[in-house]
Amino acid sequence: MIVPVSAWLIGFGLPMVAYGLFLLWMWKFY
Amino acid sequence: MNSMIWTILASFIVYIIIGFRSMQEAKKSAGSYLIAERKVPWFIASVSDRASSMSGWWTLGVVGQCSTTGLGTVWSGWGCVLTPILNWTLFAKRIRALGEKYNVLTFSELLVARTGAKTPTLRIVSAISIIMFTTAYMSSQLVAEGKVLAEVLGVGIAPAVAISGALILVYTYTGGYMGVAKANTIQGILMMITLVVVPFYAMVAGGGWDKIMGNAASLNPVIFDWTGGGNLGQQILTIVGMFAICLPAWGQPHIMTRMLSIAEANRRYVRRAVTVASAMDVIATYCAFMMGAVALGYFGVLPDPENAIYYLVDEFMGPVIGGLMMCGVIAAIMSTAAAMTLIVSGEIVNSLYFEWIKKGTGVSEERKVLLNKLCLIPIMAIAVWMGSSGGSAWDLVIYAYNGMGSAFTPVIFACVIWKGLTKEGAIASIITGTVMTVVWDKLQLTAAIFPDYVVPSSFNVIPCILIATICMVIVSKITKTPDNAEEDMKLMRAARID
Repeated sequence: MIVPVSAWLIGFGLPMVAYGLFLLWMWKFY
Repeated sequence: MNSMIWTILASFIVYIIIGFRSMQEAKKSAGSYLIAERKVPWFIASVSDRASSMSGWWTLGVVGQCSTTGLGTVWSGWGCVLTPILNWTLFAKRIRALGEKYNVLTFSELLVARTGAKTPTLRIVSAISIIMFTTAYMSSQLVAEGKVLAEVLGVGIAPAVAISGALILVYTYTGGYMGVAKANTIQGILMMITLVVVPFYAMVAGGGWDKIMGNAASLNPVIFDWTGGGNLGQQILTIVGMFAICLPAWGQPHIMTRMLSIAEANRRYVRRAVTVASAMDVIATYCAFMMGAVALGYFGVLPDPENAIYYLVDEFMGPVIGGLMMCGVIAAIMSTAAAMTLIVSGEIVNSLYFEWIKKGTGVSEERKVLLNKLCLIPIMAIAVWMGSSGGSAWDLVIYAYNGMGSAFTPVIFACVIWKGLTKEGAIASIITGTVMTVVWDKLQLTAAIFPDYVVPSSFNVIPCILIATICMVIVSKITKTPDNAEEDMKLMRAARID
């Protein structure tokens, strides 16, 4: 595999999930 | 002339037309010229905010850094995402409410009003440091744009810098803040198109994901390492240093002054603005990384990885599409320089001349607008002169960005969330932050503290801001809190929940 799983999970997935949660919070509760 | 030059010229003509179209509105008053009478709609406010914040650093600097530091660089992008998030959720409503109450047009006036300063010391210290740092920053942007234009037009760096300055001057002079904001919006969109199209188009045309990324991974073992590589200490310093790039952003007057200009501060406006602005940063973060990785995978190690975008455009795109992509690079640079020009003019003419030297004398709004406009000419001339020698001005950008951040980030946070801020505390923070930035860099203190590690230069701002904050708090604690502090805090808290 060229791109390791950790790169997908932590370098991309984790911050995207955090960002998605922020947007959800903002549109629901801000 | 070839098609690429025509495409770039067409984009310049669009900016100039936008400037002239905003001319009637801009000449009504100093308020309309400098902050568009607080009537900027959400889309223009959010996109222009990001366009002027990103500068050439995203299309050149981050791309180059990604091809060497690898995926670890994306933490600087995520740090930058925090900027619009806090700008819009914390600062926007508070700064707008405060600005409207005191009818202020500039960053220095905002600080003076909030701290209730009666003597001119804070006004002078704040305005002078903004003028110095912002002019140096502007000059570095002109150099970056000049280098691109010199390549495209085949002229020397000095005339290219002068052309860049003249173009920016035309639409800033005529259109004022609204003209600049609208041009910045177009430039922001162009910049995003460039950042998205170039890496993906080049990857497909260059042989596909497996081939390009396989090459990149074999040439740079840390290209897909989210920690940036090295031992645990190195990884922590890389990630913290990359995140720290966001800290000076809140101290940049050309970003924070935008909050004075927004049309509304209700939930609907803020939600839309923060979504668009933060999404631009997220997309730019990963596209810049992709661009660096694709350039590495296709060309191998470039002599100057910061020029990756030029190599990719030259290799894969024809003159018209390539010209459009180069417009995106130039747009990123122009948007920052134009926004800064107005800030310097506002500080000189409004903060220093009308609100201090000529305070109390009746001056017509037309005269104020005219002086603001005329002031742009010597400012631009100085920036062009500083940048005409070429690369040297780039050195100034570190002092300008980190210096302004260290000086003003603690003050602007205290301004909106801490009742105890005094004018003496603000002055202490501005002076300490400025001096610390220069001293820390000259003495290479980060390298002295961490001799075995490679620490990103953005890390330096952490101790500088920390020390400036400590000075601000200590001095504010031992001096008298302004009488208007309680009332201002109530106003800002109420503005938060409309």
